[in-house]
Parts: sequence; C-alpha cells; structure tokens
Amino acid sequence: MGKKFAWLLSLVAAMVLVPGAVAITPSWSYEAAKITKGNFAIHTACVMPASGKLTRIGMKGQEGMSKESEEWGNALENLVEAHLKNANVQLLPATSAGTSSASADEIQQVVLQLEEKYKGLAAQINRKPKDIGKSRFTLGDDVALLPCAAKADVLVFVEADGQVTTGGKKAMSLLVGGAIPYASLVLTMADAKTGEIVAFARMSNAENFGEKFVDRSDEVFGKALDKQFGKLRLGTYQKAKP
Amino acid sequence: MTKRKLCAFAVCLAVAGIVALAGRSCGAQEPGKEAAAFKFTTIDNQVLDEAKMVDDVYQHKGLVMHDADLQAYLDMVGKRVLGTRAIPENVNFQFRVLRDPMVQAFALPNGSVYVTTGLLGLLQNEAQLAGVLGHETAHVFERHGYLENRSVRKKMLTINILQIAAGAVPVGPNVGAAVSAFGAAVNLGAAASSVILVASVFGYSREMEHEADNDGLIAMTAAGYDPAEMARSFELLKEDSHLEFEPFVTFYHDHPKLEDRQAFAADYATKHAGEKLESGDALLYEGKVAPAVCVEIDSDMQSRRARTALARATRLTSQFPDSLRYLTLEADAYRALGPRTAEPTEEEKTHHGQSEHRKEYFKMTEQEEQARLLQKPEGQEALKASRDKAEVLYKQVLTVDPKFTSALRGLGFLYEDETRYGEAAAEYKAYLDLEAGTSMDHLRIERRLAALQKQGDAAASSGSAVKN
Repeated sequence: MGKKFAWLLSLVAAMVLVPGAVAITPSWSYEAAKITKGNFAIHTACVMPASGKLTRIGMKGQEGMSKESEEWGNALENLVEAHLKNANVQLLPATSAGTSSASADEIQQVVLQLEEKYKGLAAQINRKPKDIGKSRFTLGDDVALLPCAAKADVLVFVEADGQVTTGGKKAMSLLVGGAIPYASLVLTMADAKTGEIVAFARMSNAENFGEKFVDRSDEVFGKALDKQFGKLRLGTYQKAKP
Repeated sequence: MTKRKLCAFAVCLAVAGIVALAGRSCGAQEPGKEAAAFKFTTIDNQVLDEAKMVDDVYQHKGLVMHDADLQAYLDMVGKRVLGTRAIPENVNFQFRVLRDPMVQAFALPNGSVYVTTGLLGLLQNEAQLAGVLGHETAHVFERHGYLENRSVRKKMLTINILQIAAGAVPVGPNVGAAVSAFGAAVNLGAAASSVILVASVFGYSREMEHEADNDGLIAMTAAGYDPAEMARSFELLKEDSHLEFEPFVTFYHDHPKLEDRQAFAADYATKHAGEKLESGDALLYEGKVAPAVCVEIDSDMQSRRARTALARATRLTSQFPDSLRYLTLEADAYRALGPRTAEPTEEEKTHHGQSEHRKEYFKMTEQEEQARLLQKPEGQEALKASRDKAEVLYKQVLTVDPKFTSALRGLGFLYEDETRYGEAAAEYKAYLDLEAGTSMDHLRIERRLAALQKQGDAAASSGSAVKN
C-alpha cells in the first residue's frame, strides 16, 4: 500500500510540476505530393483572418473568453505572418482589393464564403490528414474569387483553440481526470490557383498557460512553426535544400 | 468496489443530490416572477459583457447582413411585436439578420435578436416572422439567458461533484465537429459564449421554451398577427427538416417536441379564431426578404445543402417568375444538386438510409459523395435531369437577356462539367467580354478558359479532337 501511495504521489507531483517547467510543442504536418517532390514552391502567401477560440473551464461549467479569443486570434495571425516573413515568404493581405474593383464588403463576403467551405472540409481533413498526400481535398477554384489569389501561391488558414482551467477544476482533474489546459494551432494551406489543400500542420501544447495565451504565443508556437515551415520548404527554407 | 469506497461514493452522491435539489428548487420558481424581480449579479454582468462581445464579433466578421430595406422591414415587425411593453433594465432591442444557412433565431440577453438568412428563407409571411420575434423577445423579457446561465452553473457543479464521487468522466455525444461544420455564424457565437451555445443550439429548458412560445403568441396576437401562423411555421420546420441531413438536432425540433409546440400554438389560435387578425401579404414578405434568401441559397450551395438551395430558389421564381436573377439562381441550384434528387428518395428516408448519410457526411467530401451516387443508374439519371433543367433555365434567361453575365458563367460551368469544352469556352469568352476586367470573378473564369484552351491545344497536337 505504501509503495502504491508513493507511486501515486510522485505521479501527481509530476503532473503538477512538469507542465510548468517545460514548454514542449509537438507538431505534425502533412503535405501534398507536389510539395514533397519539390514541384510546388511557396514564395507568396495570403493569410486569411485567423480564428482563435479560448474557453475557461471551471467547476461551474464553461465560460466564454470572447475578448481574449479575439486578441489571441490576432496575435497568432501576426505570429504566423512574422514567421512566414522570416522564411522569406512574401505576404499579401487577404482583404486587399488588389487590381479588382471589389468593395471591402464584397471581399469580406468572399473570405466568409471560403472559410465556410474550409470548415465544411475540415471534418474530413482532421479525420484523415494523410490523404492530403493523395490530393484528396480541395476548396475548388472559388479561391480565385479572392483578389490576393491572383499573385499568391497559397492561401493560409489559421485556426487555434485553447482551454484554461480554474483552480477548482484543475484540482478535480488531478483527482479524477477530465479537462486539462492546452493550446492548439492548426495551419492549412490551399493552392491559390486550384484550391487543393497542399499542407496541413498541427501544433499542440499541454502546458498550463494560466491566462497568458497572447503574451506567450511566440514562446509556445514559434519553434514549431519554424520547424514546420522548414519541412514545407517555404521561401528561404526551400533555397537551402539541395 | 470495497465497502469503504462504496460508502464514500454514497456520501458524495448524497451531497450531490442535496446540491441538485437546491438547484431544482431555484429553477422551480415561476420564471416570469423571477424575471420581474431580477437583480443583476456579477455573473449576470459577465453574461451581459459576453453578449456585447458576440454582437461585436458578428459585426466585425461581416456576418450581419446590411440591407437597408430588409432592415427597415425587420425593425417594423420587431417594433410591432414589442408593442408598448416596458423595456427591462440593460436591454436595447436590436433586430438583425445573420448570414447563416442554419434555420435558427436567437436572442442575446442584451436584447440583440438574430434571425438567420436560413430562417427567413423558410418562413412564408410576416405573421410567421412576428411569431419568431415574439418568441425570441420573450426570452429577453423573461431574462431566460441569465436564469439559464445560473441554472447551468448549478447543474455543472452538481455534475462535477458527481464526477468526483464516481471517478468517472462524463461521456456525451461530441457535437463539436458537427456544429463547426454547419452553421458557422451561430457556432461563432457559441464559441464565444456558453449561454449562446445553450440558447441557440440546444435551446433553453423545456419550461422556458414553453413560456417563450406562450408569450410570443400573446405578443403577436396583440400586434394584430394571426397566431395560427406560429403553428404553421412549426409545420414548415418539420416539412423542411427532411430535405437535408442535419448533423445534430436543434432545439426547434426536439426541445420540446415540435409536435407539442405546434399543437399548443394551434390550440391558442383556435381560441382567437373570431378576431380580426392578419397573416401579412406573402408576396410583400417574399420581396422584402429576397436579398437574404439569395444569400442563403449561395450559402446552402457552399455547404452541401443543394436541396434546400433548390427549394428556396424555386419558391423565389414561383413568386417572381420574371426575375432573371432568381431564374439563374434556380439553375445554379439544379447544377449544384448533381446526382442527387430534389426530394430525398424512399431509401434516404429510412433509418438505415439516414444512418448511411450521416456516415458519408463526415467521411466523404462532396466530390466523393457525388462519385458514389454516380455509380448507381439512379444517380446518373438524377444528374442528367438536374443538368437538363439547369440548361433550360440558363437558356431561358439568355433568351430574354443575352448579356446576363451570371447565366453565361453558369452555362459555361455546366458545359464544362458535361465535358462540352468548346461550348464552355464560348460561354466563358462571352462572359469575359461583357464583364469588367476588374470584377471579382474575372480571374477564375480567365483561368478556366486558359485551362480549356490548353486542353484543346494538347488534344489537337495529339491528333484527337476536343470532345464536344
């Protein structure tokens, strides 16, 4: 009984101490064959407005974090853009009219339309992301409705969700399991000409963020982003490859 | 389980039961009375802030429709339903149209009432819209948002205590993926606030919904609208729900049962049968909401709901048979229908058929689903019928106005789908000649035309003619 208790105690201690000590962000990505074979170069990207969803879980249920979610979404969009720039990828604003005569409202509606289409496809992509390699998923050539698609190689969708737990819930989770804090970032890239989904990267971190999602975005996801961009051979990363 | 563990479990269960009973005793009070003596707490103020934030997010993301004529109409019906009732504290009634194909309406506790384009497309007259607004404003008057939030928090605490006691993680149907794949706008609100999730997707408690129906009926009748139209709108919901697969059951259909709500409204209407009440001019309603219905048709086609798109477009063209825009939309909807039939087949209506469709919806992409349907002769027949109808409609439009660009483009798409590449290229060229080089669709059509020409060149160089 004593040994069993000691083992349990050390496990609980590890659960409490380890997440606070290290910030490891495992990441995975899947690419279309044309990327892995080096037939598709990504030098210009059009980053779609990011969506961030944060939830606070307490003993009395779920609470919305609308303001924080909005800020986090913006912070992650800036972060992805900064890392794309570092990789020497030229950025084109998704909401720019370019040479078209489209109004801001018209562009916003196209953005919504593409996001809706992407969300419809996301269920299948999440189910079998490996199938990106088989060119299974496409948004269709509707992507060309977005003025920035004229000059971009890819459209980049940025989605993030995270969860914070209150003290009570954290204690309860330690006892019986359940909600744990996490932050997850998903990047999906669609060919700006055909709409084919060419890359999908997921980064997750189960560290306890407290409420500091916005401040620590780069610390948590920065390295993972660079790793994935390298794997996708974006911009300068591509040039570095023989 | 040892005796000691069983004892501990029983004690925890008893504690949880006491908490649950405490929660129930609070919820058992008449909501109306509770609402009248409503005092704002810190938690309620948080909900109020969240509601404001949800309003801002909808505006910021461009999900609120801005059409001056439609907005004026909605405001007019909303004001009529509100009547001369005193507006509660911290409420500012605002009626808005949300771009979302989901058939849905909801009210935030701050008085923002949202009606989706999907719902406007389903309803058939002003009185039905008044019924919806009456129901939603009742939730605000009765403070249901705040009361439900308080109740959910109590229930969650109970659940958590039970969870500790049992050492079990609750397992429930994971609707997250379904909700996000369908009804993006409402989902956005749900993501922002748990209150919106409960209210808009799953509904309030049975008692609160019943109370809102009751108050809504009283409000619409007082405003001079026929309450029988509320019963009719429930009937429309029921009829409409068989058209498409629904990833999850919304409160309109199950909370409380639609049949019970319809019967309640019909019973109320019978008691007021002798009174001089109106349904409103159906044609006027259709005309006012038409811009929202057009948005809905486009959204439906984007979100694998071609049957609904076709049903809405057909209704528009039956009311306005001379509108080239609506005829083109109907043709587009037929094209989007592909190998599916306009109405669900007998097989699709069976339990097995619905279960198969559910699996397909999450497993297959739209293209894969269409390819599977085309493996059967019925699918091929349906595809031919849809394409024939689309072609007839596009040509009907172009006979009246040969320069109607969206019909030229649609016909080009249709011909390309049918591998009639030469004809498709001709339609695309005509479209590009007429449309300004700066139009949003220019690039897409240019790319399609270039691909067709490249294909034609390749075929010519290999000695084979392009199939026409």
